[in-house]
Amino acid sequence: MSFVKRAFYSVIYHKGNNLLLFGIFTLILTLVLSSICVRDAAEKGINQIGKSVDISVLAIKHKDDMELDSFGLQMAHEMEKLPQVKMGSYLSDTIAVAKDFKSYFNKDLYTYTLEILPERYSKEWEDGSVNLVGITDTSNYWFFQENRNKLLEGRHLKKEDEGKSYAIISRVLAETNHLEVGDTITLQSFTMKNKVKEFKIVGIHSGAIGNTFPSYEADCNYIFTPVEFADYLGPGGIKKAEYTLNNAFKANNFIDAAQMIVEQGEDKGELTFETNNLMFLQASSAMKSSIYVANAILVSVIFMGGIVLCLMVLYSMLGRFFEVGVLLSLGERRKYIVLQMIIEVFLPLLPAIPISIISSNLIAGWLGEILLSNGPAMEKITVLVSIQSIFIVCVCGLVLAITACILPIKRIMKYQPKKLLQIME
Amino acid sequence: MKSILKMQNVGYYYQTKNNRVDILQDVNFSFEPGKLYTIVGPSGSGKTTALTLLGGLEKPQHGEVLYKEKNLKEIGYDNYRNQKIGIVFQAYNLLNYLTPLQNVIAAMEITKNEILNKKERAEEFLEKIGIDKHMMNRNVSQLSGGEQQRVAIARAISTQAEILLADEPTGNLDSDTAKEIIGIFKMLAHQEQKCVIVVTHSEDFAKSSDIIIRLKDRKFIGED
Repeated sequence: MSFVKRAFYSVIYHKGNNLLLFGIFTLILTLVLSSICVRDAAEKGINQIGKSVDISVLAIKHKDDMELDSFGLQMAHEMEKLPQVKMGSYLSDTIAVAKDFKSYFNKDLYTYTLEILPERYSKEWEDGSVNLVGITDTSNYWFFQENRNKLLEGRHLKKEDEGKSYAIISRVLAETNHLEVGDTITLQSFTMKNKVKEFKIVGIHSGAIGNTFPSYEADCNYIFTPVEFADYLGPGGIKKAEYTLNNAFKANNFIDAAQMIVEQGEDKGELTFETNNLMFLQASSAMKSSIYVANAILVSVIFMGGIVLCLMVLYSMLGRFFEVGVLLSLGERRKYIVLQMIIEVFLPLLPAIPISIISSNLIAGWLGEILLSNGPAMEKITVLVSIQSIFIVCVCGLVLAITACILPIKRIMKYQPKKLLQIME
Repeated sequence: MKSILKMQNVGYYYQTKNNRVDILQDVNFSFEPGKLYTIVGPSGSGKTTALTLLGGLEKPQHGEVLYKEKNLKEIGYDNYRNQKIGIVFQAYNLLNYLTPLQNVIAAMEITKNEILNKKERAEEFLEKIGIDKHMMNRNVSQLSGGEQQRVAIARAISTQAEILLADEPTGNLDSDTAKEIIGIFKMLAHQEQKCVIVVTHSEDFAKSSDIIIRLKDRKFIGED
């Protein structure tokens, strides 16, 4: 009778012990497989979040601790072309001169201030100056946040308006100059008088008169245009470039690539990049916790389960060493006795695998429902057993079974038959 | 007749915490086929130790055990146990998850000696020994002590080994059954020409044997 047949007969005879072994294997493999499924699903979820939640990188150039300096718009556009970027938004501001309309000017405050601080006089303070803000999307600008100001007529400037000579002016300027949406205004550069540009009014905001000094700082003197025109009419350059990425995990790749573009430009090494991934972190925190929990379950189950299995197998084998002694005295080779023993440990493992696959599908689904339901609204994540995870579980079962046999095998290989027979006595 | 098994200056001891206990010292003895030997002596005298050395279950610390003039180490202990000997234990030591028939077949499959029609041969051995077909396929735990010992003997002889070693084979049996077992051993020695070596503390068994070996002062002393 070959060792394989002996193994089968032995497993049937010691059914109580082997049922317990089967139960432990099933439990371990079910928990391992469920943890792997939940972890895989959570990782999928994080990837989904990474693609659906916006993460942005802000590029700025510091002049000093308080002020920002300008950098090239062309370079900023080059960075926008990088494959990681979904969209680029820019900001620039400058002082311009109202050419064919009147800006708001607080003459009394101007006269008073000039008397007090004549040494700080700047031509920009004079009548006709307006605050020109070049921007990609006016709706996200602080000026229109927290109910500070509203758009009263027309529409905000958007990304699609890049390059188009559109403008948003205040109601104060519109009423003062009898302007409305659709009319045009002309602005002149403050420093280069030959630079003049006509804009079509597409929106009117609620910016009010205020006792601000200089007058161009008053909300009513804010004029918004696409960023190219602030760059054109101003001293040149933009103050901020914000890049929305198409994948949260590509931030570092983008920054590396952007740095290379910067290195080749005039602003070599002087741009800093700040990642804003708060939304992503918040959205993915539940998933990350799930991964942590799943990994913790996985490691502890394998470790503790491994110990329990080893002890079980060792204990059952201790009672059978005399049998090993008998087999050795009959002339059986040690390697076949070892193989018989390994087969006896494997046989309960075999049915445990398909049963753990079925049960882990249920448990993983339930666990996934609990752990993954706190994420943001997104495509439903299905927690399912994959071929890869089944393979991992089979390998895990194999390793556990072999590890459980190591100590008994060591004894079998070490002792003479007489010693093994004496263990029984 | 040429000896089949020989002990040459065999010595064995075990080491306790404080001292060394000699069990056998310079044992020299030859065993021939076709004879029934009994090794007798008081408890703890080293009878079983001698048997385990003869059976290759343990290695002597001094001297050598020779099978047909070849050292067991040279033959290989596994090979020796596999092909040359059959052992009968006092506690039968049958594999409890196999039936009597399967126990005998298992031994025949383990040995490298060529044995054809194993199932039929196994049934033949068992019937010869007094185990009928009905008992052959029952669980071994359902057999009496005497029946289990018969199965153990059948298992030992089924491998066509030339040497049969038995350690107190009648120790757990009643006198009638013991007599039957002694008869079987005599038959195996005289009719099957096997070298049968039996360890026993039974003087009756010893008197039935061809040669009595008494263990005295850690040495073998043979008596015809």
